[in-house]
Amino acid sequence: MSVSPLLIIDDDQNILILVAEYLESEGYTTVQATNGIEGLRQLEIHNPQLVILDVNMPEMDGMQICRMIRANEKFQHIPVLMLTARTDIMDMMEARRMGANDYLIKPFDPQALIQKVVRLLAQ
Amino acid sequence: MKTPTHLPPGSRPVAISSFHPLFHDSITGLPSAPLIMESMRDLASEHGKIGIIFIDTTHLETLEKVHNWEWMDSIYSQLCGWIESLSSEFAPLRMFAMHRVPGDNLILVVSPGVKESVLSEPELADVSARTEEILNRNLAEMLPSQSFGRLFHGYSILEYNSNQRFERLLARTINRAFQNALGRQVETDQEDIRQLEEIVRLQKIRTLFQPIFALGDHKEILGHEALSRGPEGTAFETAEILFSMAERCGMLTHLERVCQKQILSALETQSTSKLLFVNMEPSLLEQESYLLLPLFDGRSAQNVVLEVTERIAITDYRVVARALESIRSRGFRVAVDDAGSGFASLESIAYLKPDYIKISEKLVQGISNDYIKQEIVRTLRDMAWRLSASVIAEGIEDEMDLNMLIDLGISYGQGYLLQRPAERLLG
Repeated sequence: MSVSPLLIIDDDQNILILVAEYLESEGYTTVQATNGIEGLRQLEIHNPQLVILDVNMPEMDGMQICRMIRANEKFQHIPVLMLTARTDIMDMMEARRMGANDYLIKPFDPQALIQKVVRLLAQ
Repeated sequence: MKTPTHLPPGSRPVAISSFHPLFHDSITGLPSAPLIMESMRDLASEHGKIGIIFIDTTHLETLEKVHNWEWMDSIYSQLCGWIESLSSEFAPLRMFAMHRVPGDNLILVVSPGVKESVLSEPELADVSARTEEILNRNLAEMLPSQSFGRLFHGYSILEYNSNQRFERLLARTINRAFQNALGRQVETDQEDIRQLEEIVRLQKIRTLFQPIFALGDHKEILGHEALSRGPEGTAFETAEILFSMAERCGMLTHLERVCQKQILSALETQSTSKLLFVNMEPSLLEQESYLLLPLFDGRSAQNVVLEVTERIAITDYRVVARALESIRSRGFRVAVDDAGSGFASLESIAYLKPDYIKISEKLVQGISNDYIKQEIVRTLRDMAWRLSASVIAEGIEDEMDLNMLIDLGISYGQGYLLQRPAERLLG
């Protein structure tokens, strides 16, 4: 049985590719989705060990997806790392309130991303 | 609406002579008995006797359950078309149709076409049998290859007597014709029972497996659905017919036992680490005896998902929910089959607490350009999420439908487009 992948949900294709590359160079496998609906579909299929989630997306935003993950018995234990372009403290608090385990402000240093992923997976 | 074409030739105009929904069946255009009572009375008094043929359509009931009433209406309308074109076949006899209850069994009236000639019983028996034969043949051609439907004929002669009220005479003759048809149906039922007994005794059930995939590029396999089929080329080939016949004949438990034994023995020669979806007749869950079935006799339940149709939710879902609870406590998982086919409310599906919700092929087929179907599937998807259940779309046969399901966020699917059922398991 292979180790379950990390799921990245971001509507920005470039971020998706870059984040996936960093993580894969560290030996993780990833699956990607460019919108919330597809993200939840991939979550269902792959049962990932961690979700990296962009806050700002059209239609279904990151907050909403995070809340849905926390509301589902099968997935509520999965750690969620939020990516946000805003430095707004209210935003970060909101992410916490929605059940995110940690957040990262864009643009970010690849090393910071890896550190946070490692820490979340270790918990 | 059709204009009436089934009025007897030369019929006298009665109170309402034009097409009227009160006196004509809006589905078939057939007139009601009161509308043509006078014409029948005239024919009977002229010839002394008229014949009544009863075409019993009760056997089509299963098909209506499987399809829907609109589909059934088109079958009835088709039947009447055939009867109309048949009437010339029996010249010089005259034949026309009427309805007793709109959209149900058909009643044919037969009379001699020539003045002063008398209808004989062998003549009527022949017309009745030939009509049934031709209708059944046409029907078999029209029905989808895997379903079946059978009509039964019955007949009786009305002997005119001016001392008796004609309406009563007619009603009694129709009843006799109906009893006659019923007798024929009982004979056929006995034949069905004999065949079913043979299927059960000789275990003539085949098991096929249809894979269920994660939708998208990778086509990973979630599991297989085990499908039971009766002997090829017989009416019992499809599971729906097989099981509805067994239910009618009181042989459901026997049949289920054989199906489960066959599934388990098919799995002895090939193993799978994936899930196995097994259909379970809901009515069996209402009896304690289901625990004695082969599937529950202590084998590994971990990978088995029990599929029950959403129709059970409309009986007494509390009883069923209790049974499912006990099944779940043994390690089985539960899927609600045919979800969204219109029998049960979303609320009652939720009470069954399924691990999987299988979306009916009726919703899946044509979803790519049907906004309403898309909305229903969205609702089912959202409900499934709240119940922490996974969604599986059934009967995917079209690429565009598949893409729409993916866009709607449906994770799993099965259907001819992805893989046909086969004797071997995949992966």
